[in-house]
Amino acid sequence: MAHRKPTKYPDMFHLITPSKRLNVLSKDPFVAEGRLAMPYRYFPGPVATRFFVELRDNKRIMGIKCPDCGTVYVPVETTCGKCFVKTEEWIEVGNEGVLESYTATHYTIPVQPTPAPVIYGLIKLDGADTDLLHLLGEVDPQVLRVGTRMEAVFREKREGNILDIEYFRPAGNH
Amino acid sequence: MNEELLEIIIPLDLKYKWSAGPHLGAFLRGLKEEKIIANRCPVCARLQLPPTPACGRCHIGMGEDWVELSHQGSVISYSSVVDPMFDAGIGGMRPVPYTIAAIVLDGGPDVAFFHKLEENNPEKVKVGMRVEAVFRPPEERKALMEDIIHFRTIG
Amino acid sequence: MGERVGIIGMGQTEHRFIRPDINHEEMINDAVRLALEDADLTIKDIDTVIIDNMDLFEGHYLADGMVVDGAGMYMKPGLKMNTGGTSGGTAVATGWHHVASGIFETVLVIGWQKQDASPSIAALATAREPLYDRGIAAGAVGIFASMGLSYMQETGCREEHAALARVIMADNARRNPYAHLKLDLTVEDVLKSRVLVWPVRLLHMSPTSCGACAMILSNEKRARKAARPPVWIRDLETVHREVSVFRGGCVEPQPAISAIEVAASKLYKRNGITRPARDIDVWELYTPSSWALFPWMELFSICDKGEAWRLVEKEAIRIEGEIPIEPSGGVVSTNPIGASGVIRVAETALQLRGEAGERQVTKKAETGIATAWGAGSWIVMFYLSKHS
Repeated sequence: MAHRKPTKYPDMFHLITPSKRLNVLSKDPFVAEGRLAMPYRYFPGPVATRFFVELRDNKRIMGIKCPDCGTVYVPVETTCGKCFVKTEEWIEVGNEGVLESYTATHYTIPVQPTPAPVIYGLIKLDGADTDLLHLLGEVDPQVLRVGTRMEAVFREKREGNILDIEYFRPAGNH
Repeated sequence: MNEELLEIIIPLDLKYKWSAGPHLGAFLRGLKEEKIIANRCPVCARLQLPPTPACGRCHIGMGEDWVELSHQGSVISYSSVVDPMFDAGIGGMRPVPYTIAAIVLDGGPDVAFFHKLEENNPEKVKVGMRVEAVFRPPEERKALMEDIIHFRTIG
Repeated sequence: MGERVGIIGMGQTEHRFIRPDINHEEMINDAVRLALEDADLTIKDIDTVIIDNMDLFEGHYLADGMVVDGAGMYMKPGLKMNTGGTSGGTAVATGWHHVASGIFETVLVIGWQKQDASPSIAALATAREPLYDRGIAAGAVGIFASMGLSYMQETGCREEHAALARVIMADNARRNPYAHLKLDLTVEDVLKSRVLVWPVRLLHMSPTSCGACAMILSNEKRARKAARPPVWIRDLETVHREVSVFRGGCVEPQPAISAIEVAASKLYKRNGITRPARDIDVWELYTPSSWALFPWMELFSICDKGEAWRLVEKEAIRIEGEIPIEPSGGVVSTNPIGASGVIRVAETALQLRGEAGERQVTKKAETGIATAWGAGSWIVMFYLSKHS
């Protein structure tokens, strides 16, 4: 079978300059700065949409239940990873729950929603089986204790994302 | 279920540093000095442009055989870009039209150099046409590919 | 060679430009459920999961981390693959290696892409070296333009032939319920569509699709007990080479050429395939542009050099023809990139099962070749057979 011949440029070969030992390698590193800037779009899908719309429009926190093991997921999951079945039953969980763990970060990075110190808490809402990661406010981390009952504080202006809850604070002191 | 479907726009804007390494670094520093340099494999003798630390085919270090190529050469292939496209390097739409060409520089017949042409009219670009690098004035050069503005048609 | 590897389940989602109705994990989950259903297995039967997509297209690091539950990876071993356009092929190849090695009995392979998330071409351009050629790189259209131009100059092929190839693929796609673009085209329609990079017109290029495809591979012991007749991946071959056409001392006109020829010649030799057009019954080549079909047909030795356009002119590549190519409608009809390589293998397997419905090839299909192509003209090639 005939093979396509690679294109050749024989007329240019006579133009090769003789090799020379140029002393061009430098020990100084060559470092350039670059940028990677792109807009991304994310469609959370109908299940997550309902979770966020309930936060935005009704100040309600909704969970979703696995029909097999009964786990109530907050935030919502469309598949129970353990049972590999679709979660379908919506459950309204309380706007209050128990602090399972917490910590404070003392440095500021751009992706954090507020300047340092940022106090993070894991809250198991009443009726949920999973912990929701969120910010804590109106608290002194020095005196905070695991097991404290917490309540959600909603923003006045809500846009349909997780920060429609501004933070969680100790319940009942207000 | 609710009719509404959320759509979330997440802008990503990362700054990064890129270490060119000594070989590509030497090439880019060469541009600042108005030089286009390649290096040569000690085994198969083929040139690498931009210069590389190793020959991919022979799996051997390239050594110190450096070749300075002419600023003039011939277009072997080209592409006219007319559709606007998003460029992550500038975080916006890249200006069009522009013409990219693979240019075989005199002195390096087995390598092609990839740059823009001054001529943006696809009717006027031909395979085989002779072109020459137009460098920025020395004070504007930054040891980057942009130190060459484009290749202009000659002859 | 190690354990024999059979395909025992397949599932794919619908494919569309935009899927606001579903997130990444849910879309993957749909494909996985279909594949498990097809194999009559549950997720408990899966020993490991291989998943792939094109990095950066969806804009988040560790894309597989976000989709663990939906993909069925919870508490299982697994790997994420990315080799550009060949990603789906690499994922299937990796699944094959996992079974052939004898270490895993049953492997789930998932390819997916959600191209509604970003200007994909900008993500694609970051494959280039940032200082040398990223600033001028402009996606993949140019390489097909250069292929088309050289092909026309070296053979009697005209623009009409590439347009006819596109029409045939569109005709096939309309018979495939899963295809993305189900266009009713004429040669004139293709020739009237907008030029991107001459001679490549808009209709010659693949769409940007969202979709997922899952496949279950198993060893012979398991495959013999499978719910569906297994299709065997008899052999495969992968060839990589330098990424950029004009980097690293390369003025060969098409770097794709040697990679495909190397892969094909090795695979044919090992399997005693002396006349591919006779020995192989169905082809799912990864043709991102209808212009790529001609060089592909010749490089895979389906015909002699310079003859591919004549076979297209005779319409021999149609579903009813003697050399059916892209009966699914191909990548030009459907391109969720990370899934595309998996889809090629799944569609070929479906043909060999005889379950391809309206797109089932007319000739008796016992052997097939599926490929994935991309990145720096890399190739992954599979030889499938009804017989082990």
